[in-house]
Amino acid sequence: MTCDHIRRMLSLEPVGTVLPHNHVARRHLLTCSDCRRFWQALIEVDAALAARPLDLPETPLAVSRALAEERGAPQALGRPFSQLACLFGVTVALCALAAGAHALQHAAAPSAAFSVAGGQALASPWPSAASRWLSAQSDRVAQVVLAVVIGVFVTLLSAAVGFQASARSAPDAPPASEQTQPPRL
Amino acid sequence: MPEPSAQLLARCSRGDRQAFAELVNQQQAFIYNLAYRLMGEAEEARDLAQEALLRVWQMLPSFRGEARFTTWLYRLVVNLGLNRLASLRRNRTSPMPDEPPPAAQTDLSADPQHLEDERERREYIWRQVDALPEKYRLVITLYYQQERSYVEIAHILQLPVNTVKTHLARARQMLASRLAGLGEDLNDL
Repeated sequence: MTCDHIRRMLSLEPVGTVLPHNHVARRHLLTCSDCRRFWQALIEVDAALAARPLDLPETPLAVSRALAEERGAPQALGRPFSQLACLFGVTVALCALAAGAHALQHAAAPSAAFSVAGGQALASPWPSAASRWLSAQSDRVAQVVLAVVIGVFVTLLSAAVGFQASARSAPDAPPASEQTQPPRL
Repeated sequence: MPEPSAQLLARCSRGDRQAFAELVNQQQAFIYNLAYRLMGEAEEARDLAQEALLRVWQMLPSFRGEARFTTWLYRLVVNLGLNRLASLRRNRTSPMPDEPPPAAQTDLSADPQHLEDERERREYIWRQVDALPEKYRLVITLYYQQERSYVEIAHILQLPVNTVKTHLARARQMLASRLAGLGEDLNDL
């Protein structure tokens, strides 16, 4: 076995070992002065590294208020809040559309039947027929319009909040590569 | 290295700036030290440590406590540091800066010359660590200075435990060879 092998074996000995556990290496040390010197140096290296003081910054690292304000309440709450609000807004808008469509479908039949039976509606021009229909269904139409407006408003509001929050956090957000990339060792 | 209390971390997660300042005071020396070992320059290390603290502040709410906080923190510092090194495209040539100092005397008397030699040898070893390739430098720093176990180092560096052991052994071998004047070239490893 060469000195190189022995030194590799010695460097695998647990840190702080005074006498090598490996008997082959131990026997070799009795006859090889270079490896003995290596072993002494290894012990010295361990002692020196264990005693190495921490390198400290000359002045304490400044964690300024500006840094602390980077993560304020809007950022902490903005994204989840805006996501929920968006979802809620879209749901309200969709429900309103569905309800509106359903209401209009059911409302159209009696109105048409009335018009045909009366024999006047078909003859009259469409704006007046539409006007009459709208006045008859005004409550339902108002409800549908109101629901759609609320839905659109909530969606826009939440989108604005979400945009603001993401714009605030964007400069500090770590790139995807940094998040997922393992250390290249 | 002190492990911050769960209470302190919870306060930091809620955005308590005072708690965060406390956490920074507690951890900054260790963060800076690791950053310094990684970057090799005080200014770069300072920037890296500041960046790491900023990320901690931002990402703490997502810390689930599955690993020790300090392990999570070190991993963050190491990842940021390696990315920073890559972006700097710094070619770290690692020439051996100097020759080994005189061999240690076996006589342990407290004479000034002996103490001076010992101090010189110790500083020589520390300089040699700074000249090691970063993978070895990191393992050495985490093991000796930050007193992390093999498993923790493996977790921080995302390496198998056996690779960590091998890196540590190779680094020690290089340092001891240099110190003993046996002329092992760092570039061979």
